[in-house]
Amino acid sequence: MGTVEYIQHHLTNNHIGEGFWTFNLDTIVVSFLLGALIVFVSARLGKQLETGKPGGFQNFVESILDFVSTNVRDAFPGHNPLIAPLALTIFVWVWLMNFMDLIPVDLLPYLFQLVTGDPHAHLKIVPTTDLNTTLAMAFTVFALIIYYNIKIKGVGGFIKMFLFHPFGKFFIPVNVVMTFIEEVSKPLSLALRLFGNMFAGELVFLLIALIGGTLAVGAAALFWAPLQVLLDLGWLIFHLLVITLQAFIFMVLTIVYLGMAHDEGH
Amino acid sequence: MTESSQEPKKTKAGEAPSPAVNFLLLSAGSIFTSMIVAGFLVGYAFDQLFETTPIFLLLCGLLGFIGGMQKVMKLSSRLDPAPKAEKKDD
Amino acid sequence: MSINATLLIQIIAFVLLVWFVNKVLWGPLSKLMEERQKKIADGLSAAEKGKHELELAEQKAKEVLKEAKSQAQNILSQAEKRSSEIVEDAKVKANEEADRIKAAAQAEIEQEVSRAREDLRKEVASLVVTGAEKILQKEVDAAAHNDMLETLVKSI
Repeated sequence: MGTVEYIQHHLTNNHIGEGFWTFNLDTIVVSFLLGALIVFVSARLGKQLETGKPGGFQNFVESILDFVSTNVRDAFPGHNPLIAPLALTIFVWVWLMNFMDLIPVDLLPYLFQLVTGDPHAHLKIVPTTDLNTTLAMAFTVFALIIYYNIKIKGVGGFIKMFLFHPFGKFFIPVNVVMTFIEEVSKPLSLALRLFGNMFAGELVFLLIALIGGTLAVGAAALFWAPLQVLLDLGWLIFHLLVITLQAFIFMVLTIVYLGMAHDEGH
Repeated sequence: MTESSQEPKKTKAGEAPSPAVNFLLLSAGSIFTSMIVAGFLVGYAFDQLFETTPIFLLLCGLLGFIGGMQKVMKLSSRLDPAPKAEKKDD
Repeated sequence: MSINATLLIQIIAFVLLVWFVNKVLWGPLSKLMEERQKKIADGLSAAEKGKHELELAEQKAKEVLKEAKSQAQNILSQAEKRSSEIVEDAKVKANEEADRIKAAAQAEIEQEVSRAREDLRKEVASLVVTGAEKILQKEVDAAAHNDMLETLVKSI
């Protein structure tokens, strides 16, 4: 199997359907499983809360919750009970989906191929390297931004924002284009940044894996195999930081954008 | 989250910005970049529509750049009121 | 990596997840944390209040003690004053008594002296009369010479 084919194989989703009506099964299943994990843990914790005895895990969750609510308080001007749970969900879910990236790139696909008996079965286990996932969250957040913009400022205020922001009433066409760019940039910065980072990270993992896969033949393996382990470990540690940061930035951007929508003096 | 927690926020912002604010500035860079990219994208779309390549591409890219700068400045001034107060003293 | 219907499913999943987290995790937990925070704040304020009350009570106790002390001092000084007054009184009385006794004694002495003198005078007069009788070898008419005798007695 050649290098390009190896990479392409790893970056292709296991899908069914044609055209627009294609379903990336692996993305859906993995993200649903991780969502189910959150649901399961939340439900268990909720049940534990009723007994009133705080355990170690509850403290851990509480510290995350505290962290998120501190961020919301610092960046969000108004009061909206939806923002904090939204931010928490984004942070945890995105982090979990990003974390899939740290699982060795060949492990799950290989197991999957063994189980299905199909040596060419596709499996891409990181949902955030699928543009559909990141765009889904970005569009949801974007819809909330538009909703709150209109809800807080009214339809007139929303149109006014398009016409007179940011250069005043003498540059109306420029203002329209500018505000349009600004609105487009919101889902873009949410979805594409996360997708790009995770995709690139996955790609680097694949390239590192290739060192062992294609170059380590015969005696050369003595040199290439340790190098691969070293590089993999280094990138793993670095990537652990990256996935946390990406999840965090996604959360903060959501808060900031929704905060802008709530800002009356926009 | 409630009105009672609003008060410590003000004092916090006045005295020393919490570490979360630094992370917010980090996201400001993200906003800036995406504004430029969005500018180019919108410009590209206009160019495709009116067949005027590369006028709108460059114009909207510039607009995105300016808007991004403006957004970042607004964000940083909103998050950290301390430098503003210093300016007033000058 | 093309955009397809997965997008829709992911949107639905995301919305459901946010809804669930809000309902099951964030709501109860933040409520719990808020309650706990309130409890802690209440406890702290109660402790503060108790401390304040203790301070007040201590102050009060100090004041009471101080007052009692000053009262005791007062009583003590009054008693002292009274006792010294009594002593002074007694002294005065004793002095008076002594003076009185002295005066009585003096008067008695004087009386005694004058009586003795009278007796002596009478004795002397009778002696003188006897002497004169002896000298004159005749009876002196006491009555006749009474005047002379009287002057004689008085001159002794």
